[in-house]
Amino acid sequence: MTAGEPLVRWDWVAGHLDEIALRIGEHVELTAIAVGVGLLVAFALSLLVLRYGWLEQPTTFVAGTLYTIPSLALFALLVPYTGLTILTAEIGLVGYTLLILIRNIVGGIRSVPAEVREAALGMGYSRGRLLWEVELPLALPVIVAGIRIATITTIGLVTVTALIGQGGLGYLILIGIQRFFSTPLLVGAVLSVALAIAIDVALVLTQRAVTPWARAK
Amino acid sequence: MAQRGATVTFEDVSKTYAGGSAALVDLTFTVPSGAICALVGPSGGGKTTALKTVNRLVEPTSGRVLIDGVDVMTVEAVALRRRIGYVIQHIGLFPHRTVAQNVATVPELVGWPRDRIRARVAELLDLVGLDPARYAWRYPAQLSGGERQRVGVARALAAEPPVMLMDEPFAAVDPIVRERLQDEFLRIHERLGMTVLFVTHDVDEAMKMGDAVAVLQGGRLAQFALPDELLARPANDFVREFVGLDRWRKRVERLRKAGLLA
Amino acid sequence: MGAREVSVITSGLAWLADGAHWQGSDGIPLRVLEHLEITVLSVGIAAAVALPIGMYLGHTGRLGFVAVNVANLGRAFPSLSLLAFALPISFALGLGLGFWPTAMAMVPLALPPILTNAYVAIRQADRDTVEAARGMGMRELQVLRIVEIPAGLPIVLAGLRTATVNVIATATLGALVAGGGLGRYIVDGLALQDVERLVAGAVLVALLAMGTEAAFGLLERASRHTLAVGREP
Repeated sequence: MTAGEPLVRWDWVAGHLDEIALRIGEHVELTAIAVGVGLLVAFALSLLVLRYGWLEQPTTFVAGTLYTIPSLALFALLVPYTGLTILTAEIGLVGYTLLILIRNIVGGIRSVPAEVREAALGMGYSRGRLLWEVELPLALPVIVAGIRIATITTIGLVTVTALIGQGGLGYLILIGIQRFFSTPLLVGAVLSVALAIAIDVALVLTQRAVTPWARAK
Repeated sequence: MAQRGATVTFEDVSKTYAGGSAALVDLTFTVPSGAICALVGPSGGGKTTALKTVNRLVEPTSGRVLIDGVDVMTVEAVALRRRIGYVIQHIGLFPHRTVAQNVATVPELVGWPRDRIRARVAELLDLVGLDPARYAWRYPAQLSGGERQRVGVARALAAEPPVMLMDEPFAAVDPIVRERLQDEFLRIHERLGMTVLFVTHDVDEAMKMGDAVAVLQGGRLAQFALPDELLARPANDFVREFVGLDRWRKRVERLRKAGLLA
Repeated sequence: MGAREVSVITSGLAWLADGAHWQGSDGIPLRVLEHLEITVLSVGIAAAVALPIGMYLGHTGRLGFVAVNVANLGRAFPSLSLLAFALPISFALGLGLGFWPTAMAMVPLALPPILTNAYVAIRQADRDTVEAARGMGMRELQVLRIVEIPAGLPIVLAGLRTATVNVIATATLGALVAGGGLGRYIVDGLALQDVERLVAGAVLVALLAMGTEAAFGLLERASRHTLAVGREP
């Protein structure tokens, strides 16, 4: 960034490979926890919303409001309560996944054709088995689409958590900014984009794999 | 493949919804074991509601529905439904399961052994005119409308139910396919002998398929009789018009005029 | 909530209520203005680029797959990375830290939703109406202006809304590179361990974002009642 300096100093990269690997690991870990917990919470809330329709408005409102709060602000607001810890980061990250996950789980289950549900009930499916054996498998494409969006968004947000003391690739970007050093800056930035794309592709392939009937035409 | 039928009795069955609208009023008639009973009437007349009281998708506000003398409300709903075949207009095949898996649904729910299920699926696909070798592994999305209808019927028959409920089962296909499906269903019924209640808005279909016809109007039973009797002695003007007696008379007139009838 | 937590919020609000914080070069009005400056500039540039392209693609139906998925791709891009990429560029152009790299980074953030929504908005106009319009002798641009755009206005506005709110939220990161705006309070608050300032900054950004959401919501609703030729979105 200073004149004359190359954009990327490869010797630095070579010398810091284990640091880079560590940050990637942290990044993936933070993302996995957030999406995993988010999925559980969203699933529980979705079942409640599907069962008690009146819950939909307040739930969407709260999740939507959480989503609107800028990430930096949300993390910053949590710091006085839970400190500069991984918990702070995860609370914020999980909160951001909720809107899209709930919307897609509820929407996916609702999009199961009415006649399929009626036929299943008429044949003697209990409500529980109906959910697990009919509604969820059919809702899977929409749900996985939601997981994709939630995961990609989370990967982006994890970079911001570096500001509240968590690691990940954002850490590299931060030290790049603080030290006026473009190498870690660009390495962190490029790798977080690459990670997002890689995971997106992996999830698309997973989605195709678990829905064989969608391909049979 | 002998299969008993069960007697289905409606005993003063009424259904009123929360808003006060009455869908069924004092419905009383008995479908003998092994008979096909067609439920006809104008839309909103209560025929689908009546059908659904048999497998408790609708529960009567008063009165009883009996299967072989047993009140359906005294049997656990899920267990009841597994013993009744149910075919609806758009079938509702599970898109995420193959044809074989669809047909095997109720036997699996009930817990039959694998071999028995496999044999039963092949037997049924044959019965409905679908070659198991070609169709068993296909998904519903790969089938034509007529093929889906057949799978729907096979699925409903899988667990050897004594009673079968059908709600406009052949309405969603074109007339040529419909006629073929009707004939084939009559053939299947000959072999199996289960009691069938089916709803249709097509009077001709009711006359053709039904051993007995129940005409519902405004939730009430206008007439319950054999098809011939419906034509010969309609209970009231509504039934007469509904059955289209004028239509018949006009046709006879025309044929007579053309010198084709004495 | 315990006594400590409640006091954090109230002290944050107290910070906002303090008159001294409304004056000077670090005052609330100035920071809000800076924040809006970045937002308006970057969204404006993004719209100037994305709206024509999106509408052209929607009108002709070309590159549909790309147009529709651009928004998804854009969402995937970590915003901190955008800022990171903008820094060297800004320096290379001699524009330094602060305002310019932040504004530059926000443009690619705002672009995708505006593009995708513009495409979808035009695309979903009732095809029969469009054909009738052509049959009446309207030129292509007139079809676009008279038929397709009014029908798709709510969707276009929704895209602008998403873009603007995203920029408002992400522009806070600009404070990391010596930028101004409301992010300044958050970053300074974190650095100086000044909890009240941090909370105040967060609250202000959240309010600005929610206010913008609401304002756009009203605009969208109003646009639904305009000369809407074609299907309701």
